[in-house]
Amino acid sequence: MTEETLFDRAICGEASEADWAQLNDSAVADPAVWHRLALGLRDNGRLVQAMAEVGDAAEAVELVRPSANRRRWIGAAGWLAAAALALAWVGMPSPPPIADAEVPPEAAAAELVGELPSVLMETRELPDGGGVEVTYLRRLIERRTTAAVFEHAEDELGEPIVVPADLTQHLPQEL
Amino acid sequence: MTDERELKLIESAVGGSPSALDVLWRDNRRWIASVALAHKPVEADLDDVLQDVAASLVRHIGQLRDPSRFRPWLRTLARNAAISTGRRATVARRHLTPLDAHALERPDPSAGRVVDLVAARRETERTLEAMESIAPDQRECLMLRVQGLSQKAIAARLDVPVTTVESRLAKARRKLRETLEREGVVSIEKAR
Repeated sequence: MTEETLFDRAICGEASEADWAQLNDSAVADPAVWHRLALGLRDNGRLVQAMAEVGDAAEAVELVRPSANRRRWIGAAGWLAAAALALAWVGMPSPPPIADAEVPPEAAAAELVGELPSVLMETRELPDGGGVEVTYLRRLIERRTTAAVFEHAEDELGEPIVVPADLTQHLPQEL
Repeated sequence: MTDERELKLIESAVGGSPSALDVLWRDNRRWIASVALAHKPVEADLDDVLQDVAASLVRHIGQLRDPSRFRPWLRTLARNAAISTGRRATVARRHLTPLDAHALERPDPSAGRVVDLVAARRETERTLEAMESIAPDQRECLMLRVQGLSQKAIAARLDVPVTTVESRLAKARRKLRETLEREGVVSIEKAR
């Protein structure tokens, strides 16, 4: 066993009788062992003081949860992403599932429940007089079963990430 | 080692209980501060790292699969936060010594021990600075040790064998003493 290991046990009050006997034997050959142990005890005392201050600083840090407003924005951001995808398939012959990135692949196909009134976004007369081009947002209501629901959030660096949604924290109108 | 009470708290927190998560954080934040301090670069602010750990805990507790591994998992969060916060840190190094700073700025003349206090403070700061010469994994072990954790408890948090902790502690103590001697921190003989 190394001298430092014996010192560590002695400094922390965990040295056994055998440990002390080994230290004593070492000190017979090299009396400076006790001196080095004293230095170790002093270093440890200073560290204990310093770490107590660190621990006290930690006591001031409490958990902070996202506010309800922020959660609503996150929810809204999720819907914006869905709306953007929905917008992308307006005019396409066969729309893809809404917000693919947020639905696990094992999810069942969505059931169309209903549709809210469409939102008119832009109208433009065709140059050849053949009619009017209308751009609008369709708002479909779908239902599907899935193993998990995800939401948009930010990581420690502020980068957008997708994380499992805490359903207990969501109001019905947010989903 | 995770006891029955803590296991129940962890399960509640994973299930979405804010109050359980608050208790878990308060129970563990002191040693987590040691982990953060051991792994953060000197220029990073410990307060910032701890705030990041707390935020990360709130965000990711739902992803903990095995409640019995909460402490190693939390230690990993703290280590990662210390490293990532350090990358962003541009602030000058600050010492977490509000009480001592107060003592230095406004000493109490009636105490009569101001010189001793200042000298002791300097020695403590030198000891902390000397800790920076120790490898982070060894420094982490020593910081947890001086907070009163047993070698077994440290091994459980770091998810390593006790013999590894024993070896890291021995290396850390040796390196600390060598650094202090080399940098001229007074020895006991010189102090007399």
